[in-house]
Amino acid sequence: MDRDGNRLTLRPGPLLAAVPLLFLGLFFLYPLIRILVRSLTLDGGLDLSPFLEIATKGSLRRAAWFTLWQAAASTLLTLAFALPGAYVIARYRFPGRNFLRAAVTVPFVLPTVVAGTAYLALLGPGGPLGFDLRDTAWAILAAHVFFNYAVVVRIVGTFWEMLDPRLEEAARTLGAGRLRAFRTATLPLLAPSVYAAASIIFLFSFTSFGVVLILGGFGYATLEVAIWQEAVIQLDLAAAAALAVLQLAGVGAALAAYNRFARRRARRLRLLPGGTARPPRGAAQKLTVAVVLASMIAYLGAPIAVLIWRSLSAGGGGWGWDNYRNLARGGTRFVEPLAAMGNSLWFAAVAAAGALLIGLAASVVIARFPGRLGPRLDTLLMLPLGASAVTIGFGFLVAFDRPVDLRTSAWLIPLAHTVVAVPFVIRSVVPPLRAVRADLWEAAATLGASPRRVFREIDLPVIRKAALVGAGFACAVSLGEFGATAFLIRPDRPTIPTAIFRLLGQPGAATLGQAMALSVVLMVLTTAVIMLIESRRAGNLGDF
Amino acid sequence: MLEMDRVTLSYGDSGEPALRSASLTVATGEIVALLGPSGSGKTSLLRVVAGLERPQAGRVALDGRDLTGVAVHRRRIGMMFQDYALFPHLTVFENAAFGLRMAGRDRETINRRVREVLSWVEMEGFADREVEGLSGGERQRAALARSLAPEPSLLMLDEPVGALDRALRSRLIPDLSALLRRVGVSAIYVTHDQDEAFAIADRVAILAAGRIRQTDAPRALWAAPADRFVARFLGLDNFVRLTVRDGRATGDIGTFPARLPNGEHTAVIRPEGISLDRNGPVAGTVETAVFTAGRTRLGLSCAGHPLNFETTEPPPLPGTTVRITIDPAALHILADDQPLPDGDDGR
Repeated sequence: MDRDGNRLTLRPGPLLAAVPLLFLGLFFLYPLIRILVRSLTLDGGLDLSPFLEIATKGSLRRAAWFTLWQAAASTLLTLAFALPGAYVIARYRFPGRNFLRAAVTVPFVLPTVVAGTAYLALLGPGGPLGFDLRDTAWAILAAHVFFNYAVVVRIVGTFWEMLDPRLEEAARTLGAGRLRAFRTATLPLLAPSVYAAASIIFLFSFTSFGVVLILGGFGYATLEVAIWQEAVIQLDLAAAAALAVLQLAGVGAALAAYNRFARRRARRLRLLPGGTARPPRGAAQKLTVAVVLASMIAYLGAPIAVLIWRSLSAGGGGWGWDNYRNLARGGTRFVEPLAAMGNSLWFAAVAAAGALLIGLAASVVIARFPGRLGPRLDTLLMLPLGASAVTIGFGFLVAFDRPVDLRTSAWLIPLAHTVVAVPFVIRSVVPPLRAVRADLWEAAATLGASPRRVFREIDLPVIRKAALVGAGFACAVSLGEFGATAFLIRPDRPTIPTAIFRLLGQPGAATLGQAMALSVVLMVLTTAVIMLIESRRAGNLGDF
Repeated sequence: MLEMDRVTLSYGDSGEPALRSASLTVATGEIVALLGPSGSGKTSLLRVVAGLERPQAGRVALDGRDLTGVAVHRRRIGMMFQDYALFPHLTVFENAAFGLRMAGRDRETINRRVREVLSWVEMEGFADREVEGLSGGERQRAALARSLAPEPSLLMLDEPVGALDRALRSRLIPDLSALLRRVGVSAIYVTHDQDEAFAIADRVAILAAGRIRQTDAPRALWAAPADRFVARFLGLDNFVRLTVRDGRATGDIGTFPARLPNGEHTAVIRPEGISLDRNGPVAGTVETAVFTAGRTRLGLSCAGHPLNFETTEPPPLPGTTVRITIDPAALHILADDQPLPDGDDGR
């Protein structure tokens, strides 16, 4: 049947596909290739000495080992802390449940610098708990658990909530005890989602940069931090490139694992989309729910509360806006907080516009282009999400030195932010665009709408709404972006996260207070953007 | 007036054609029900008429104008989709106004007309509601209003009450029938439910495996189904082989009076012509007795041959032997058995 002659809405042409492909090639793949080349060659000849250096140099070997074990430990600890929380939110109905479920995601969307500073406020010098865990692995692990708690609640909890409890009840009627019923009926179905969450947490912890840089001191460095140290402090680009290649291999393995589990999770199950939560019954259940919720709120709330509290404490044990006033007055000699805020907002606007442009073109092609091109482009454009911002920033540093040296350009940072943000626009726009069913086009056509009109009346409103959400995500990502920015930033043009980092690097209680105040500002900005998005999107728009 | 002439449609190269030389006419103001089991090609036929599918052969004309090559949006044929396909980003009012906006009507005309069609379906109070929050019945009425608003030359309704529960369905059908007649729109009404088709249509077309088997008024169809398939699809399943000689039929169930020409026939006995009668000519054993709303549905075995009918009398117990009379007018000769479509044996 000739479908083309019967076209009901506009379809994208190959020219539209060229836009995202060119962008991806130039600003993602090309830098990656330059990293690879830089790690393997010297003056045109093959040179494996950077890799040998990693194997022999103690500090790099330690970084590789630390990256691996802290990622594994963070994953296990997060699962241990968050699974009870995921269970309680999934299976029990209680006052404030929806609010709590939304609030759990706040740590996850916080910029890493803010999370790092918050843990510094809680566990660092002068913290309310009375001990100083700065420069220990414990602070890093605690921050990773804080950060990734939401991953478990979102991935495992959402699945758990839809899992038919009658399976477990059937096991009970067949003679299984409570624990045995869980082990035999629920756990096997739940396991793939637990593994999927674990791979994501492993990935995030493996590529952790800001948190480790702030909390780890010089004693603890992940590969990401080591890349930054080699490239920016030691100026050894070859060693940094070799580390980046190593790091990419690790990321690839974690992503492959995630994909396997995500696919297995998609196994046909009778899920109950309405959810299965019910109020807790009896003293034991009520106690369980209360204890789990209380510890969850304490764990996730404490760092944020302490951060706000300490940002408001003035010298001599009093309270006041001193830290914020100092920020407004121009900070210290080395950091200009107001300029940083201006730059951050400007970069966020440019990055959002850029991500919107590239992401929209890509989304229309992904959702509507006939044949295999769409799905392939989808996979390709998700790569920057996995490759870590540090790699992208480092890639820019390596790639854009000739023929024209772009490294001093003011556009480089928003460009890097755009690369990081494009996947967020795509994930927001593609699902609703795909969900516009053919029968809506058909209904519009039978009511007298021409193909052009169908596109304008049916497709465009959907795109507009989703694009707004995508742009919001891009803004939030850009505002908090630290990994890529750390490589490209120039001292005279700071962003909020790099200003916080510099403030933390200065000695003295006054600058620490300012860093906390600036972190609160960034936290408020980011959550405001996220809340704006949440209020704008209707129902299940997008993948996030 | 719609004329569809010998339309054949295949999807791709694979499989059976969805429509085989199907012909159908709908007179102005007439409501024709398209009745057939699922997969018989009902929706395909609608899609061809709407212009959503291009047939390999045949022709569709509306009011004398050939529609071949006319784009969907220029046909002025309204369609009410099976799952309604309401635009989720628009309100009820905006959904109903869509077709009028496409036609370039001015704001005042649109307001007036939308208010009018919404009042027809008793949805005036819902004008500003999002479609997401509507119940099934409200969606159905909003979709009906939307398809009627631009005054289509022909309205096609694809299982318009199929998604609703039984109680709501039986309440809605008379309303729907009255509304369509009051508006005076020509309509094709697709359904797989014969009660629904009989209740709403002037004529009923039976579709099976892409072919129109018979088109007739509901009573005529019931009285004289063309063949075994049509009869079975209507729920007539008392088939008998008979030899008739001088007003007496002798067949697999026994001997009884019949006003049929001499010879050998395949006939169907309409169940309303069978009644319990102590002195009746035919004997049978009660196999099943199912009580339904004031009547009992009896399944007899007459000399090993099944016979079904309903009675309002106190039902005999299963296993007992009863005698019945057969009203000679309830016998209808079927045309020579056409081969039944593969795997498609009515319901």
